[in-house]
Amino acid sequence: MTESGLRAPEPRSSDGATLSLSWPAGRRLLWCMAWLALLVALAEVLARTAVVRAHLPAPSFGVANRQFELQWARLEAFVAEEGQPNCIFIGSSQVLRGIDPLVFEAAYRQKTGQDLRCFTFGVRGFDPDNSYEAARLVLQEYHPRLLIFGTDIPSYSTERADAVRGALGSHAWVRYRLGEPVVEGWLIDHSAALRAYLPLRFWFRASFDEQQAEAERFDTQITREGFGRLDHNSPVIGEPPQPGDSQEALFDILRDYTISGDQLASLENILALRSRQQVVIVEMPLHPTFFYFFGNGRADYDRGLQVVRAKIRPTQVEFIETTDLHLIADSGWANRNHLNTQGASVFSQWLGARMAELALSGRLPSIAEHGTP
Amino acid sequence: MTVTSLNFAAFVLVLLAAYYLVPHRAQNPLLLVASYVFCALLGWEFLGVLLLVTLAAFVSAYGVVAGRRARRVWLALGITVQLGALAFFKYSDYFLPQAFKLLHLLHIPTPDAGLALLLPIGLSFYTLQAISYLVDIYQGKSKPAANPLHFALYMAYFPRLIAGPIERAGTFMAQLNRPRRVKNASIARGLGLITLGLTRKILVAEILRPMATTHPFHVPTDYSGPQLIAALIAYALFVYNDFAGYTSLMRGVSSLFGIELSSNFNLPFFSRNFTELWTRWHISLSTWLRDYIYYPLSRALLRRDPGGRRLITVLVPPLVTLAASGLWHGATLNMLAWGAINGVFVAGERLISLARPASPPDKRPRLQQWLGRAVVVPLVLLALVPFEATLPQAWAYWRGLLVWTSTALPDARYLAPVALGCLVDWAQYLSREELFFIKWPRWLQGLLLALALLAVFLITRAGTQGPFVYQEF
Repeated sequence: MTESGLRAPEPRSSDGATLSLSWPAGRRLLWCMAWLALLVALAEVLARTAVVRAHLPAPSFGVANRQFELQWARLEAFVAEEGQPNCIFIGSSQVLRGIDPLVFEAAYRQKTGQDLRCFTFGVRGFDPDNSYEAARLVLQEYHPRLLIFGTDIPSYSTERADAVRGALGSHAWVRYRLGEPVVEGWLIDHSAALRAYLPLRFWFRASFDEQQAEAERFDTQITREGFGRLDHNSPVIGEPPQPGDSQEALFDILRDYTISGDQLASLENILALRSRQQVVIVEMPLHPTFFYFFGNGRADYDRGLQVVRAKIRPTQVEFIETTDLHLIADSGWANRNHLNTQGASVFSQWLGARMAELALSGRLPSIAEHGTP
Repeated sequence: MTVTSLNFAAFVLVLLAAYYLVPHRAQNPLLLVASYVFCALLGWEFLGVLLLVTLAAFVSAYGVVAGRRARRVWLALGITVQLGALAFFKYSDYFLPQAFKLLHLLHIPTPDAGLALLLPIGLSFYTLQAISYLVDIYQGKSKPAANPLHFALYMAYFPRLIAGPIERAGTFMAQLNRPRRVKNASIARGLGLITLGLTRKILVAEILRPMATTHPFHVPTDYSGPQLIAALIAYALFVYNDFAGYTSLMRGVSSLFGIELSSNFNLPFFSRNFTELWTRWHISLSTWLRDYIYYPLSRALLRRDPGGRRLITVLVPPLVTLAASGLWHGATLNMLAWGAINGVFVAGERLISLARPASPPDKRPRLQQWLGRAVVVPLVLLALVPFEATLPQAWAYWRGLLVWTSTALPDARYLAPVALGCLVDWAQYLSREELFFIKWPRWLQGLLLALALLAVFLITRAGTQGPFVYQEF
């Protein structure tokens, strides 16, 4: 420690520039950039090679919801094989498990004689907010004539909204595809190597193997049209849920049911899409014993339904309600809010017929032709 | 703004461009403003604390010089302000609940909890700097800073604000007084340190974080003996690479500005005895503790025991110094235990050397040096358990290491970051160079840099990073 160091005179600008490089400079950086270019090019070539691709999991866009990515991959494959869909069902896992496009198309054809190409884009955990972001993506890419949003009243719960809201819209790739200038999103969109790597990014986490297995299991349940088959049914479906029930977490979410203003705003956003595309809202069915999860039972549910109905009514958007139809027998439920394959078949047939009636009555323009109405 | 983010990189690049463009006399003010902006970006209230602490130290230093008879009072006042700030922000949430418990026993009504204050970023580090500055002036080793701006920059300099290194005023401010020249070699060295820092932080520490932190230490009974051993090794490498990575990164950034910061680590896991370990681990703190606690205490004891043969003279300085180190890390019994255990190791070593004086580690036969490492490293790792666990948890952890209830093996994936961390240290050990790659051919250095950048980019796709461990002390 020196005193002189503290008392040295102030240097003057005439002492010369701080940055004093001698040339050639930066050869390490040049080498680095050359190597980077080579390595990236090599990775891109490998990622686009069929043999390598066959050994890799489905590509990822870096979105936290793996089911969304798998559904998106299904949709891209569907479009590649069949062309752009006329109608897309969008919503949560209730839509995924509850609407079989093939059955829907058959029922519609039977009444109208018109062929449709439909795709189910349901994703677990998708609340109105995520559904709106997904709808924007789907509309922008594939311009279906009809967007059917399968809504479920529990998803408007403030408790649930706080847990999952905003997940999809914040991801770089989604933002880029929706038109924001996001460098990372651009990279993901243009780099097959990066998309091939991204599913492996959690390799070091203990939960990776389990999540990977779950994704693979999920993938095998999804049909070409995006419908998620569930072939089991719940043996306790007729009994009111008790603590210890496999869905008991719903007690916590719905006990003090309040309606999230943010989720209602997202519903309004979905309704606003009618200026670009035909929009229909469908209330996804719940088993009557589901209402026991609400603190005030059916009264809470009806209150939520009334608020949703009040939002939709002024917009002239068709709202197909299902609460009191009791369409599905107990054998058609995988659990209290998800239909199994049998229940989905019944519901899809009913929905196809209902949509056909709307089309025939002129309340819904024809959806058989692709393109903006 | 984390220092491994693109935002920080942009902040540094913009600042560098301005720094190289402005005349020398404007560079220090520019760095000071940038440092305050950086601090405010981390939390504007932190800036207020930093300014107050800086002002108090600056004024006290002039009091120490001008006070003549009141020098001691000014010194005490200056140190009290620094320690007071530390106690208020860092320790109140530990001591107040304890005090409340006592008052409660006396049926005196008290609040339920402490103040729940947010610890200002870097407070633990810059208050030690201020104390060393005051003590050095008091002891006549240096004079107060002539330029308040230089002192303010000494306290706030952004590459060392978050977690050190703890610099000495004389060394640091001497650099501020000199015109700076950043040449090719400085840039290469700076980029090399940044590469090394990112490698340690992102490719080793961040990958180890999920395995290394919390659960095995908090519920050791859920894990088998091999898993506990693996978790302890992972934790040690995690803490080391996290902190060493941060230090390398910031030293690299600083050298781009032509200002050299102290090294904080020098292959600590190659230490051949416990005394040597504390010259290799968190060097700037260890040196501070040595100069301002260990030496004064030893000198005071030696005055009463000139031969230095009494047990108290041998045992007390290392025990007190390392216990203080523990308390600096956190006012908890487990941190105190961590410090005390390490103090016992050093004191024990001193005791043995009284009976049989040992030659310096470098002079010992090679085998003996490796035997030393084989003893020091496992014991230091065992002592590390209370660094993360409470005392009952630490006890259960140590029991779990000895009594294996199962032989379930740890997750083999963690061998990759462990191997990488060991490889970096091994390369440094063999080459005797911190930047072991700096003499490699340029094409090979370019390849290493490219691989490191790619790996860092890919690993960070997994999501948000955790904070630096020492940022929280």
